[in-house]
Amino acid sequence: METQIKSNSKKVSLSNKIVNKIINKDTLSLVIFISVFLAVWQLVYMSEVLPKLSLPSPIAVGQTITELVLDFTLVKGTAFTLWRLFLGFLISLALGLIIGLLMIKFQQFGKTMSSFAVGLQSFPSIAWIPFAILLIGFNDSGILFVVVMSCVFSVMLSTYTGLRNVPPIYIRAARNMGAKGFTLFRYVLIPAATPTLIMGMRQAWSFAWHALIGAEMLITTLVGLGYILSVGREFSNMSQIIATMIVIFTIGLIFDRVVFIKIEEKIRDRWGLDQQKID
Amino acid sequence: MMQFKNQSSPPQKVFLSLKNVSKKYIQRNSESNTVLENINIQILDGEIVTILGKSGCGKSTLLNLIAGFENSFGGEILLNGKPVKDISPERIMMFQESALFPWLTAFQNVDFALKMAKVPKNQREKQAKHYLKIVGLSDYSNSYIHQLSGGMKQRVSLARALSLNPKILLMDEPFAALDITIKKTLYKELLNLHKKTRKTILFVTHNINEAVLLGDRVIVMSPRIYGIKKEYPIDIPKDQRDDDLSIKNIINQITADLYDNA
Ligand SMILES: Nc1ncnc2c1ncn2[C@@H]1O[C@H](COP(=O)(O)OP(=O)(O)OP(=O)(O)O)[C@@H](O)[C@H]1O
Ligand SMILES: [Mg+2]
Repeated sequence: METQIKSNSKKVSLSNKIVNKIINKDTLSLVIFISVFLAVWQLVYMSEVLPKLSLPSPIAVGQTITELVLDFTLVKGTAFTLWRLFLGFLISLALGLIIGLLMIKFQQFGKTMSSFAVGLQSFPSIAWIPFAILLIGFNDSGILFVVVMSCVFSVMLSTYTGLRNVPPIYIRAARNMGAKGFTLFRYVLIPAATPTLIMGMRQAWSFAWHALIGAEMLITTLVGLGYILSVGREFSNMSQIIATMIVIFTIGLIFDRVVFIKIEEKIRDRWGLDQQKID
Repeated sequence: MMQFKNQSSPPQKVFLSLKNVSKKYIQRNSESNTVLENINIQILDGEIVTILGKSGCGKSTLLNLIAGFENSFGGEILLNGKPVKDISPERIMMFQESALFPWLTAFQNVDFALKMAKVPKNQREKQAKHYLKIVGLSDYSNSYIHQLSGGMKQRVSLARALSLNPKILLMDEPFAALDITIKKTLYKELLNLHKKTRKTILFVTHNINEAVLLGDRVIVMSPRIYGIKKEYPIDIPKDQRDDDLSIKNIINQITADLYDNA
């Protein structure tokens, strides 16, 4: 009897926990926010301020999303886009880290390169596209080139500044304990620079994402979310455009919120960086 | 544990010797700024020597030279008769500010030191726990550094320094930022550890009571002469210093020394 009650209450508290986890404050406010947004959209649609062709109803867009998912257009587009994103990001990560390290190793090169990189970092990614088309052509490599050029400098600069700004006292203490060469680099410099590196990667990721959609729209390769957008424009298919925009928005949100925020929070927590937060 | 050697006979050998040590910093306008001039110090094996002096008189600079952080200086620094060159784990510095790694826990900080000291992996955990226990922090081994109080941080620093088994411990105002009750506990702990290990310790401070309480000898530095003004040997046993009258005398003398500008 008693054990049964116990196990019952255990079950209740466990399911409570799961429910609490799903319906926490953040999720709840997100749901409310989206509902209000959809309601306003619906109202604007019904008021007919804008022609129905320019602004389809939320339901019509929902149908388009379903159609585009079912005929695999969106699925295939998302898969190709994500594949390009990962590839471009990984290439930029590798290149950025290597060049950043060379900048540390060769000081004069570092100085010169960093002023160039600062300029190129804020260079509009779309402005690379004509150059990429003539240099490489209308193909995947052209798109990758634009993605890499638009985010490699963030990785490079965060590697450079992150490593340069490691407090000298950590290096002194480590060298005092006998660390040098690769050990010093791997176990002291890299972890000490990690908060800056993560911030740089997050920025690089969002730059890559911006650049990729732009490049897919202008460098036509017949697949990808950007391509679906440009087809939507050509056929004046607003439902398709909005449907694709929603997918792009969701992907961006998921990566930023789920992947990068989680990593950053973990590091900030460990270092105690949030304690200096100003409320 | 086996790391501690109990030496029964009182040590007498000169262990660290500074001969005419001078240090100038070259400033931007290429003028030179003399910080230390003709410093001569002899430190015996197993001694605790405290160095006292006003802010800016070159105490940290002196420790930096002994630690090997600065390679350009005049004169000679000999450890066991051999000239000191470069950084080495046989001379471990405990810094004025915390130099613990914030990305590691207390345990991992000590473990890192053991790894650097090439202690075999299967012994590291046991030893790291042992050193944290010595400084009374067993319960905090999994805390990250920012979760520790100032006093606890300095204890972890001490544990990390001890785990490297240095020949000499260079302590740069390690307890300066702590309140008096914590300081008193840490003094006791330091003296107990010293009794067990007989490590040679060079302890820099600007607190006269601290210098007199801990040192076998107190060296008073003065910025005006870029060096040592006076040395006070203190022969009173360390556990009786709290309420000894002649200690009060010495403190008065040192105070007078520090504040008269001759
Ligand atoms: N890297 C450096 N370059 C130039 N000058 C320096 C440098 N380090 C120290 N100094 C100078 O040397 C003098 C002594 O500094 P030091 O840090 O040794 O003083 P200190 O006795 O440890 O003082 P405190 O008690 O405040 O820690 C100061 O005048 C300082 O300006
Ligand atoms: Mg100092």
